[in-house]
Amino acid sequence: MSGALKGSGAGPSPSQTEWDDDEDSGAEVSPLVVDAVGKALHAHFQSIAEMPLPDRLLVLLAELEARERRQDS
Amino acid sequence: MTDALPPIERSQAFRDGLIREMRDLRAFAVSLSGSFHQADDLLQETLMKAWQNSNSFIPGTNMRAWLVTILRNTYYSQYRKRGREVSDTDGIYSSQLATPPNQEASLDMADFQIALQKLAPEHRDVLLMVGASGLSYEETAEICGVAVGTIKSRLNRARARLADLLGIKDASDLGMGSVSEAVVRSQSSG
Repeated sequence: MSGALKGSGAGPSPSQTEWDDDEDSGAEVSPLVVDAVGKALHAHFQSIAEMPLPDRLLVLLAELEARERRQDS
Repeated sequence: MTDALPPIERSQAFRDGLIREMRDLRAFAVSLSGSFHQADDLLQETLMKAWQNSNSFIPGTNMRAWLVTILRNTYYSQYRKRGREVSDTDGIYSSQLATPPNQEASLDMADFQIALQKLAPEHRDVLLMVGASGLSYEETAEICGVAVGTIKSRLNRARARLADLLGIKDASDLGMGSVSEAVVRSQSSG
């Protein structure tokens, strides 16, 4: 990972107002709940990832590539 | 040895990697921001930054973690600049799905997105990075700038909170009613 792009605690991160991470994490979540949450999360992610990419992103990619080819030649 | 490739071929490998990651990265961006429109703006900016900084990507390392880092930093710097915009969670799926599978499924997805948006940002981060994107604890800790133990703790809390928001309270909600009831009975009698 690059130095310039690397995330860091000093970088733009959400403020911690609601939770204190230094505290013990509390009761363990049951494996059944972990499994159910995990499956729901994957299903949600998959449903978005299966959608076709919007044209503007494909156009941008083609433009970036074309620009680089011009610079190389 | 990918880093020994000549510039043109390396750029082709880089481009192929970007394209491979683009859909999952979009799912990450939508889940993070709660908005398709904002997600596509984020993706566009991430794509440009990634391309401009392609030399800083080390071939053989995890491109997904690298892209997630760029996208997340972009998101939170915008978030800090202009405050939280009202997300268009309501109706996003009905407008985006060309052929909605069925109304009930659409509602489930919207409900899930609403629940995600109710999580504390640092909890949503770890769920999306570890739980959905498959990044390691170490990669996630590096991206968030915190210790690995903190990531594990956040993940635990995030799962508990999301389960609560989704109404997953115990095993009986998971179609295992008889088992959970038996467990509860044995615990209360013991």
